[in-house]
Amino acid sequence: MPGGRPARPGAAVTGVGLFTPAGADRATTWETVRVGKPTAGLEELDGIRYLACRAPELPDGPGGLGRAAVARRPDRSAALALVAAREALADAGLDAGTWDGMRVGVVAGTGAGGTLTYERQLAVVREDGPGDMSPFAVPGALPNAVAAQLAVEFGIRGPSMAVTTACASGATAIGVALDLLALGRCDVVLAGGSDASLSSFYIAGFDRLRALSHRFHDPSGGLRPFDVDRDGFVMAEGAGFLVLERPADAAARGARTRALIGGYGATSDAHHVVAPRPDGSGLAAAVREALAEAGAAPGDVDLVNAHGTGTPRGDAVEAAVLARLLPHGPPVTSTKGVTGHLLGAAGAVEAALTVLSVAEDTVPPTANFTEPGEGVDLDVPTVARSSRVRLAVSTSVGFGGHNAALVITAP
Amino acid sequence: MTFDELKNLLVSLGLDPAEITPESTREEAGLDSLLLTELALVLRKERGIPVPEEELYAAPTVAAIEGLVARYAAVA
Repeated sequence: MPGGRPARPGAAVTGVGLFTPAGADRATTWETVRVGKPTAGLEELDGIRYLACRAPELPDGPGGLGRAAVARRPDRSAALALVAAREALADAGLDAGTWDGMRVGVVAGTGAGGTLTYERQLAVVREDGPGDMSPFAVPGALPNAVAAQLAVEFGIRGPSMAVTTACASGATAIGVALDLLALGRCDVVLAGGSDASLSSFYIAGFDRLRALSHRFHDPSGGLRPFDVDRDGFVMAEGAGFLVLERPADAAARGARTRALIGGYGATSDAHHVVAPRPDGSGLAAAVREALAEAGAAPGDVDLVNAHGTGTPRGDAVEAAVLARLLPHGPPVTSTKGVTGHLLGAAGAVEAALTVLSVAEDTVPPTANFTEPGEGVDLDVPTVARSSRVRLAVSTSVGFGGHNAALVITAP
Repeated sequence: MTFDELKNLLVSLGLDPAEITPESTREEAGLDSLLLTELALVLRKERGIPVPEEELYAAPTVAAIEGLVARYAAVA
């Protein structure tokens, strides 16, 4: 196995929090994903027509941001993260008011950082002058802003950091959290991802890469993972966070473990600034590495939550890798058909959905999959299935050639 | 701008209404230097009241801020 890495105990997932286009909380998001209801709509911004999956309105009151967070003027990416992270901590039964914050860490994945704040304030300084800029411009725009806002809000005083590997960021954050726990740098890690980059810069920029769906006549059918008619992804905004602890620590405090993160693999394509390496060898190596760390074999995989963004080339490479690596043909689903592509949050939201798939023994469907595209030789479920899911793999890849795989197992 | 209008503005910035009285110091009200700068921006750009940032920084209490707002609203 690559690197010959020994199996490790992994991490217990004791809390899950979601704030996505599919729902303002974990349960609603999971139900929307389970029934396979797409969330994309047609929008227009700065004269650009595009498809998007919008997060719900931020709630007021106890489930919302809270007064102190409002006063820190978070960028939208941080605001979405605060709501998801609060749900994850509550789910874990952890009270930020009583814990030893020095033993808690946060790893926040982001693709675009605080780009909405950056773009708005750049327009202000150019059009109205420097004296009209908000003092919250820089702390809102920096890529570390999500991690910093979560640390301040919840009194997290151990290691805190942003990680960014484009659209693999959320999965990378969970992988880094596993390392922090294995090294004993802290005892609890809030790990996940958040992105809010529905801005003209990113919409037009992704479109110039020909990465976005143009199915404007059928917005909800826009993101079609592995489908013969797929034509690109639909941008989404949202956040997902997990609470991770060493399994022995979780057991010692009597916490409910929803699932285990058994292994993580990370590789790079070293090939192109956006295109995947055609042979998919980097992604395949990441999956093999994650399985090896979990002490599992490819034949143990009951479910793959694929990256599956619905781009013609990306899906073809991933489908070939998964068919070759997993000849026993486990179901391969992409929940992006429902949620859209959450970019820097995608890996974390999909890890959370995979945790729930394991916990509920449910294979979620791939919305909008009707007929396999050329070279797609996979079992892609179109409706939810109830079946034993003891071990699942979640794959993520990012522009620049970042590959990440997580193995998630029943406790 | 009445005291209540100023209070509502401060609450919209995220401050706790229970901590905002005329006698509250800036610290008690929760107005750090970033929020004071933001307050000056909101007053100038959204309310048309050009209170200089330096004078806001020097105001010790919410009542003093209210006085500055009244003075610059009159000349605006």
